[in-house]
Amino acid sequence: MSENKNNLENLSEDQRLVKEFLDEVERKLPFWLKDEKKNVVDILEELETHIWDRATELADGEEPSIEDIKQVIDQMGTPSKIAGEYKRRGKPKFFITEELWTGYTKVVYIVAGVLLGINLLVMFTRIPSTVNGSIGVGELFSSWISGSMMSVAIALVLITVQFIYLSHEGYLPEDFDRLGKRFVFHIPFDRFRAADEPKKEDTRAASIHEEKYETVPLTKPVIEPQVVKERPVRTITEPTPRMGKRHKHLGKDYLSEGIMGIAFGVIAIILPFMPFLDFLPDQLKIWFALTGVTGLVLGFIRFFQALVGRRVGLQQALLFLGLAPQGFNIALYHAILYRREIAYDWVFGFVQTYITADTFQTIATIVVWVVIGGTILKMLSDFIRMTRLGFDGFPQK
Amino acid sequence: MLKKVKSFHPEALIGNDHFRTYVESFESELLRGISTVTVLQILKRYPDEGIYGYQLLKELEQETNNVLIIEEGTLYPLLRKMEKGGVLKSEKKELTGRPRRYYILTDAGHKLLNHMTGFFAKLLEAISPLMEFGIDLPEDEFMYCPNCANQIKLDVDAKYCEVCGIFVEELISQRA
Repeated sequence: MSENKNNLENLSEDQRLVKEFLDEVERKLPFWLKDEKKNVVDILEELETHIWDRATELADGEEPSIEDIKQVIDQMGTPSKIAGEYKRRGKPKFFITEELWTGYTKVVYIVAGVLLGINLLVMFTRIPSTVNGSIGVGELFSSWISGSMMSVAIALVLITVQFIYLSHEGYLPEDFDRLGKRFVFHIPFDRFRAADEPKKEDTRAASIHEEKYETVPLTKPVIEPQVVKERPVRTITEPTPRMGKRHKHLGKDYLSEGIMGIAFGVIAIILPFMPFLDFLPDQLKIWFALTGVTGLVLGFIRFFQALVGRRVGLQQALLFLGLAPQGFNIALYHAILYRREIAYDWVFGFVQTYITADTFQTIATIVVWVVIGGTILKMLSDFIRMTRLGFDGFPQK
Repeated sequence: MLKKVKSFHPEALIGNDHFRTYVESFESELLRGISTVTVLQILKRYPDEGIYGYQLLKELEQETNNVLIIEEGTLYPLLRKMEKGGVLKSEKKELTGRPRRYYILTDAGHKLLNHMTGFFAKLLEAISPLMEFGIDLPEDEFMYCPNCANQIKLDVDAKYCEVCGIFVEELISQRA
C-alpha cells in the first residue's frame, strides 16, 4: 500500500489521473480475468495507450493537458462500465447463461434429491407415532410434503442466486479448471458445459441433400470427396471432446462444495425451527442450526476459493480460514456421543426394540468416529495443500 | 445515434425518458452485431502489419462519417473476446512511438467474416423492400451461398461452401 502511495507521489498530475482510473478499472475486473497477471497488464496497457493517443490528438499532437486527459477518461465511460464489458460472456438464457445452465440444473437436481431423501428419513422416524396413534398418517404426509417443499424452495433460491451471480460476472465452466486437477471429492461437473453434451447433429443441410454426413472441424475444412457427383454435405461441428478418464477439477469441486454448503447450511439453520418439525428435541434443533452455521461459513469460503482462482496468498488464507469451521464440526460430532440428550437417546428410542444398547453404542461410536476421521483427513489435506501452495504454487494449466 | 444528441427541444420525443431508453436500447442491440462485422472488415485491410485499437476506432469513424462510433470500453473487450475465440491474433509492437497491441485477422476469422458479411448483405437485401431503400450487392464479384448466405468470391476455385458444405462449384461456373 505504501509502495503504491510512493508510486503515486512520484507521478505527475496527469499520470496520476490515468493511473487512478486504470486502478479503478482493475479493481472492477472479474476474478477469472485477474487470475493471470498478464491478462490484467495487457488490458490496462492497452487502455493506457488509448488514453494517451486520444489525449495527444485532442492536444493537436502536443503534450496533452490535464483537461485533455479528463475529457478522454470521461468519454471512455466509468470503470464499472468498461469492466462490465469484459464480463459479458456466455449466451444469455433467462438470467443464467447457457454455458452454466447444465451445471445449474445438475446441482438443483442433486440437492433436491438429497433433501427429499432426508425428509423421507425424517418421516420414517415418525412412523411409530402413527402406530400408537399420536399422529395421523395424513399429518405425517403433510409434514413430509411441507418439509420437502420448503427445503427445496430455499435451496432453489440460494442456488439460483449463486448461478445468476456467476453468469453476471461472466464465468464459464472452464474458468473453474484453473486450479488444476488434484482433489478427492468430486461432484460430476464433467458435463458442466453444454459443448460436452452429446452433439445434436444439424439436420438442416441434410433436408436439402440426403447424402451421408461428414464431420469436419471448422478450422480444417479440407475435403476431397472421391466422387464429386455425390455432392456430400458437411456439418460444421466442434472437435469431439476428449472422453474417457474422468478428471478431478479442484475449482469445480470448490464451486460445488460452496454452492451446496451454502444451500444445506441455510436449510439446516431454518428448517429445524419450522412447526412441522416440532417433534425434534430442542437440543437437536440447536445442533442442526450449529452445523448449518459451519456449513454456511465453509460454503462461502469454498465458493470464494472457486472464484478467486490462482491467487496463491488468497487461496492459502481461505484454506486456513476453512480449518476453523471444520474443527468446530469435529466438536459438534463429538458432542453427539458425550451429550446424549442431543440425539443419541432420541434415536435410540426408535431402535431399542430391535437392537441392544451396547450394539447401538458401538454403531453410534463407529459412525461418529468415521465422520470425525473423514473431517480430520480433509483438514489435513487442506493443510498440506496450503503448505504446498507456498512452495510449489499452482500446477501449470 | 441518440446518445450523441446534446441538445433538443424540450417537447421533442427524445425528452421523454421512456422513448429515449427504448430507442437507445434498440440502437445498442442493433449496433452490437454490426460493430463486430465492421471491426473485422477494417482488420481485414491490414493482413500483414495489423492494426491497433485506437487506429481502428479512428478509421471506423472516418469510414462511416462518424455515424458508427464504438466506445473504447466496448471495443477492447470485443477485440479480446475475438482473440480468445481464435478470430484474431495479436502482437505487441513498437512501430510509432509507444508499444501497442496490433490485431490481425486469422484464417478462421476470414472465414467467419465472409459468412457474417454474406449473411448481413443478404439480410439487408431481403428487408430493403420493407424499409424502402435499395441494396445493390456486388453479385459480379461474389456469390452468396444459397444455403447459408456465406459470401464466396467468384474468382476462387471453390467446390463447396466452407461454412455449410453445400456443393457450389456448379453455381459458380454458371455465374462465371
